[in-house]
Amino acid sequence: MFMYLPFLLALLAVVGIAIGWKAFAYAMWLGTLGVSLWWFAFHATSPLPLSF
Amino acid sequence: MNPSHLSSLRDRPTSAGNVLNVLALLAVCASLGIAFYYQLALGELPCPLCLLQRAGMILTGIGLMMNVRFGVRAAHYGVALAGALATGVIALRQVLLHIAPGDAGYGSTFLGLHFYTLAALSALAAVAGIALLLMLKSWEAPASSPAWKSAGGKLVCLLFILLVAANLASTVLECGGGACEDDPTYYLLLGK
Repeated sequence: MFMYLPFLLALLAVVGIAIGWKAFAYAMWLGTLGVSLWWFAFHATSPLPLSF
Repeated sequence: MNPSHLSSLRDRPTSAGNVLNVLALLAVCASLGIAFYYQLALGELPCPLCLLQRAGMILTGIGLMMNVRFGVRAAHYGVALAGALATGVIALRQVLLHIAPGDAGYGSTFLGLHFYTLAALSALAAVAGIALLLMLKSWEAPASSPAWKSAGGKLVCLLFILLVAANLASTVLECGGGACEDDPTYYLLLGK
């Protein structure tokens, strides 16, 4: 998995919107969201310094 | 009589929804631009969570760009809303990482708040804004054509595309292939 992947997929999405490929843009947006959430899960592993 | 059959209601060249979506996309571009200013002029490279917040703002902008390009639709607002929620969750994680007393936080501040705090607040503002835009969509008659028809609409979309491309290039230079450093200080592919 590459850290630049969300931005690559997002670029494909916005170019798709510009040229009128609606379904392609939706798919690329969904891919961007999925990869971004994957990277978030990868990085959000350490416990938070909270106490109750 | 069904008022939607009255042609005069659908001959509007533009609508408040069209204008507000272009302005909202411009605001997203401004956020991404400010992030680049701190990165390029002040040397503050984005951390992984920072990059993901930028990605979240781009996800929000994609929904707004869909409204500009294809016309205002509830589904496009749904796309923008999902992006704002993702941005908010990621920003909130970073806020909570530094919330303990005595923690100086990460990175610069603006108006006394760190940028991840500002991102969390603007994500909340985006959710509220989209709620209002959805109500506006139901209330007003749609424009005869999307905001893409205007020069301003096209220009803002072009600016957004350029900012997304710049973020791609910046992330490749900073992290190469794979994960980024937690506290980046140099561009991996540039060696400085």
